[in-house]
Amino acid sequence: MPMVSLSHVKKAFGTNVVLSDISLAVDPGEVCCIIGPSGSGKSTVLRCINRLVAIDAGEIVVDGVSVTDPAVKDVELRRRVGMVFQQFNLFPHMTALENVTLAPRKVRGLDDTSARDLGRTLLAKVGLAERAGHYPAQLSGGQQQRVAIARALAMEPKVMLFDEATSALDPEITGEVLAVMKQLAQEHTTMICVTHEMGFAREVGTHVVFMDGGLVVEEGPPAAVLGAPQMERTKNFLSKVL
Amino acid sequence: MHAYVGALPALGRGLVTTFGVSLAAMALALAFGFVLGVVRSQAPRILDLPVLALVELFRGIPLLVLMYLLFFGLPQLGLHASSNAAAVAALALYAGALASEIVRGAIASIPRGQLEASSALGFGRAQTLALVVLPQALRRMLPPFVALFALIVESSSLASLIDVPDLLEAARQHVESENSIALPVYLTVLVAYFAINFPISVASRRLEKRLA
Amino acid sequence: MRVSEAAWARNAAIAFTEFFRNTPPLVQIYFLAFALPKIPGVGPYLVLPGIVAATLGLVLHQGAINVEILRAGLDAVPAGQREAAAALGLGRFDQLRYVLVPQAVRISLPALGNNVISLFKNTTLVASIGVLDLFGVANDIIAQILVSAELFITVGVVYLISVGLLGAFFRALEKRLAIAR
Repeated sequence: MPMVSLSHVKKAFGTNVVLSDISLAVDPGEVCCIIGPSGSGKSTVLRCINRLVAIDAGEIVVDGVSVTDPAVKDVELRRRVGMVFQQFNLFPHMTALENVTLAPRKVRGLDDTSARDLGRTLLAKVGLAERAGHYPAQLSGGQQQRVAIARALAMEPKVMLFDEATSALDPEITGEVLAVMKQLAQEHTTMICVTHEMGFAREVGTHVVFMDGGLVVEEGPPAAVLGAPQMERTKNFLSKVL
Repeated sequence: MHAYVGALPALGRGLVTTFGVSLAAMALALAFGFVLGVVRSQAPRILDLPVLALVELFRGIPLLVLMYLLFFGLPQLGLHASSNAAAVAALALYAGALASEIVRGAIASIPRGQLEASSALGFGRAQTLALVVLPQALRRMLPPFVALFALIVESSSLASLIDVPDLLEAARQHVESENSIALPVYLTVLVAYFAINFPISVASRRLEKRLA
Repeated sequence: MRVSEAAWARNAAIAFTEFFRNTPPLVQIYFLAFALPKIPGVGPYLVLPGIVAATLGLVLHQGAINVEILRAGLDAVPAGQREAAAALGLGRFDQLRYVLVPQAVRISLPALGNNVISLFKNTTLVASIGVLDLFGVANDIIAQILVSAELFITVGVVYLISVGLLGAFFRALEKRLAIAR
């Protein structure tokens, strides 16, 4: 039973068709890396999974819960899906710890002490235990992103979505964030990553999906898609990137 | 109702005065504000301080106090001004101070890079100002100026307190003489001001979106 | 209500805000003081003492301006903040309460400060319906003694100093609450 499955998903913003026909299945424990040129709809796919964007047609099911069913509340979905953004989007008026504990307290209903313990554990996990009391402005980009990962993990989601998590970081710093993501993968977290980091996709990914123009052009294990691409468009893209 | 309808022509005349006062004040404020704003944006720190003080003065005193000051104070200096003139002058000074801030802000918002490119091409300061900075700054000044006009119209109602025969004064006099029409008359006045200011407000916001 | 997703709430809030924002506070005060009592039926119950009418008029007018200021502040909060809050499962109200409004207030602080100063200056309007504030007292004295200009200058200076202090207070507040970006 796939953890996340999309069937024939379509999405257009006005006259701009971003997703033409997307079908995808991600099994539990898989690390699915979505690659492709800008504007191919990769980020939109992620946002459709946790209903930040509503799809026009098709079906999406996450952990047995249907995203398209209006009876399913937003909260139900978002407790199962954690998201990490390209721009981190940490709440600037709260400390790192407060950022991580906000949702567990308000959405999961944890009491302050349990939330704080959870927060500290997670911050330690991403290597930022000593920074718990710092504000985002006092943290480097890489540190902020790691806090963002801890924040998403605090909801104990079944799936983690990474939307170009390292694209806004200086090259020397991407390493620390990728290391955390690798660690999560080794713990069998189901992950869907939109990424430009081909090295990561090859090393850590278990399933690579190449998207272009709102369609899945080619997919398969990293060795196949990255090493021996079949489709012309895939080859083109990879030759520019690798 | 008869009394209300009878009051309408007077209200109409009052409205004309309101417009007259507002437009005159706006014109003066624009002139005053523009000159002051440009000077402040170009001048070195030393000149900046007294001008800044002047601007803060006119912004800091309540408009009503300013009006009264001019209305009562000018005759003491030997200048006899009508109430209309005093009202326009007070509004112009007040709005002028605000306008100078708008002008200065718009000029300051032009990126440094433009100035550098301009110098690199050989333009002098005056040329840069006239050819590069002002054309762009003027577009950015437009929405706040439109909003300023709405503020002037709204503030002009204070002129009624120094006996300027504007819309509010006309209303007040008629209500004083005939109490029962208070409700329809003041309602009309509210609607009239709203009908003037709301479109201006909306226009200002639309302009801001389009020119941003 | 102004940023509610429910159209009816939003429209009602917009109607209220736009009306009270775009009409002169003096006219609103006059309406409350003189026109309310004339409403057929309930009128006699609505006779407001001068200071109440004046205060209410100012509250309505400046309050409406505040609504606009905060709305603009909310708009200025980066879109990613709302996304992140939503992705964590926070409902609309919680998003506003814990993430969006705190940032909006910090962003709006200069404008809100200006509005408070404006309000302070507008208190002169209460004199127009006979309530004795600083300005009203001065006017009174003039009527009795006729030494006008000096008196108004003094009054002006007092307002200036007060406004200056208010301004300094708000700037300090801004610094204190500033989120280094």
